[in-house]
Amino acid sequence: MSVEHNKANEKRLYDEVYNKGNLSLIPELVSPDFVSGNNKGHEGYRQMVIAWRAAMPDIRFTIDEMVGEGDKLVYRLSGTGTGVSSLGGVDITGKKMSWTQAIFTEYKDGKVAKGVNFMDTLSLFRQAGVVPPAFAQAQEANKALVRRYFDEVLNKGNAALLDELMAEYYVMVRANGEIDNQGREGNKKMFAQTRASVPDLHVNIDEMLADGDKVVVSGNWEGTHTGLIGGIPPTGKRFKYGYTATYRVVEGKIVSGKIVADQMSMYQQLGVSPPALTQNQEANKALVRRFFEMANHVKGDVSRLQALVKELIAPEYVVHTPSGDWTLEQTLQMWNMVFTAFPDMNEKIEDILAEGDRVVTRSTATGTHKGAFQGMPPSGKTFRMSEVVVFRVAGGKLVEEWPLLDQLGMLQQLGAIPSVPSK
Amino acid sequence: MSIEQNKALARRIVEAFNKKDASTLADLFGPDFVGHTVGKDLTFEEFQKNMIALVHAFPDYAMTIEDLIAEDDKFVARWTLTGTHKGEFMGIPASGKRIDVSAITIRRVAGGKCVEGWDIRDNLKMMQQLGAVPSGPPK
Amino acid sequence: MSTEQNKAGQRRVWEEAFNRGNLAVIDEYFAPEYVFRSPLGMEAKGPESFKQMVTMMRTALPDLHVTIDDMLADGDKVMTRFTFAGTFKGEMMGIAPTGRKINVAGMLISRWADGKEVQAWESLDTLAFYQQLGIKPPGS
Repeated sequence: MSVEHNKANEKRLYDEVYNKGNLSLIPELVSPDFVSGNNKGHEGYRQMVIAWRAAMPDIRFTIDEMVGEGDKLVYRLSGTGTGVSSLGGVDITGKKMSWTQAIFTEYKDGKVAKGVNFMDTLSLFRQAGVVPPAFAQAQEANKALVRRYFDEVLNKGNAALLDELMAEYYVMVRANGEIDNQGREGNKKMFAQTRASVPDLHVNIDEMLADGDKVVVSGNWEGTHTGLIGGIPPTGKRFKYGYTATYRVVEGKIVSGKIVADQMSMYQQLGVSPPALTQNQEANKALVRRFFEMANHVKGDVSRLQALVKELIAPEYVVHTPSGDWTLEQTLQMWNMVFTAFPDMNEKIEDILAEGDRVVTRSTATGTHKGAFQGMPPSGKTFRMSEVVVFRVAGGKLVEEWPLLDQLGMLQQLGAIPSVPSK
Repeated sequence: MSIEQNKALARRIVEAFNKKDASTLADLFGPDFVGHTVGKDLTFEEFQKNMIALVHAFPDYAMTIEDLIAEDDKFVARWTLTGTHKGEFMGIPASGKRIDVSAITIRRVAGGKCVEGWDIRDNLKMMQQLGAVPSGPPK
Repeated sequence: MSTEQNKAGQRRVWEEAFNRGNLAVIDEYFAPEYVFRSPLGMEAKGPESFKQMVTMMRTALPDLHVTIDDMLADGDKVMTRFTFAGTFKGEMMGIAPTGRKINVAGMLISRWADGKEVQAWESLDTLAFYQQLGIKPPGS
């Protein structure tokens, strides 16, 4: 049967069957082998039509466009209708609905035999003014998760449980809005330090609210100052201060946390002055690790550098190279060349240190010379180069870099410079 | 050792190098010191020999600390080496040229002494400044 | 241009631009007046803007892979039924990645003229898209 026939057939289904409720036409237009999701055969097709018309008796489908080839036919549909009950478990009573769908069908012997539906379901929920069920159910589970985090990890010290409760990519948001890409491992280390400083730490929950994927908790944080807190030596005094924390939970794992706490009150209770704003070394190290991770992921596809820059690098970035100070733009140009010239470029961190706002990495870079590099045509040679880089971090991003690379060694390995005779 | 103690040690080492005070230097490095340089691991004796060669090649050499970072049992010094090429160095005869190159040194400290280290120096720039390697397009 | 040529062009856009990040293919097949609005709310006008959209998708899902399940051509139109899959590891539209995997089916109908794509209309299950990624849809 021709595409024209199929198009006409499908049009009749909407004009006559869906829009006018003329169900008796179904055997003429629909194959007995019809399948669409869980709807099978003539009876399945009937149920589909009945469901739509029961939800919106004044339903009107209009076919906007049809594309057909062979026994396949695809069309775009617009639908309108006023809800009188529910559709797909969503109550749309009294709501004027308007939506678009795209349907892919396969024809057999001139009748529609298969249907696959593509629909902007989210807009339907929006028009009905309902929170889609998956989001609603999750809220109770999210609350329970955060409660477990407090009970088992914070209060009982079971840090290993973080593997289950916290996402690897965990991000901590400071009270001033700065983001620490510390990750789960960074958080574990920070937590270990906290428990070492306050072994009898107890956090209680006074209030807990969930909204969408967020859980907000508030309560008190108390304990005895037994070890260094903020660089301040132990006073042995007890303290108790209030906090509010907002966690974002995504399928059973905490992905971010923002904690606002009355730490000033803690320092007052301890009878000490609070330390000057200190940097979180673990977060800074995690940031630099992520830089290496993302750089190693480039693998010749320089478009990936955009994400790296956006996430990790401040626009005022300066790299102090042997031939002068480079802006971010100049640095990017060099990276584009390097990652294209060495598509398998990989840098392995051998050691990482941090102090204040500086992070130092000692690493080994390897790569194969497959593209033009500094005027040299690809040689196919591989290099292995030692590097030490000092980074400065500010505002959760890399702002300055002093790289020291054994460029002489690298160029010698690529054959660009002869090995210098040594004693 | 605290961060401040490690940094103080780093400064003492640089001061001893600049004063060519070999005996103080020997005190600040442990007997089992291993120095990882590009392509070679050095004992303290070999490390000392390299320093002596450097002194012969650049009698007016000076190390200037640009940045000092320390954590746990390690310190990192980012420094500059300057000097005039007045003696043979790595097979290159004295040229009278000046060098001004960056380097970064990482040292692991135990019992107040350096026990392990990693050094990278901008050898490419050094060779270029000595005229041993052509200066290519800016990097 | 024949329907077969249009189909081949559309296939190359999926396989080279989306799956391999070869954006040059977009210059080859997209007309300057190209317009596209995705049900997810992203809009592209012209080849450069479409390139940015592809880059954004590939940044958000570094292992993005679009599988062509079916392709039809009819007159000046090409329809692709596809599966869009990847892992949400990079920032997307200002939203932090969740690390979750996505696998959604969709359909694209594109209109072609003189061997170039001038307009496209996409349909996919938007709710499933956001649910699988584990993020709240913007404006909720």
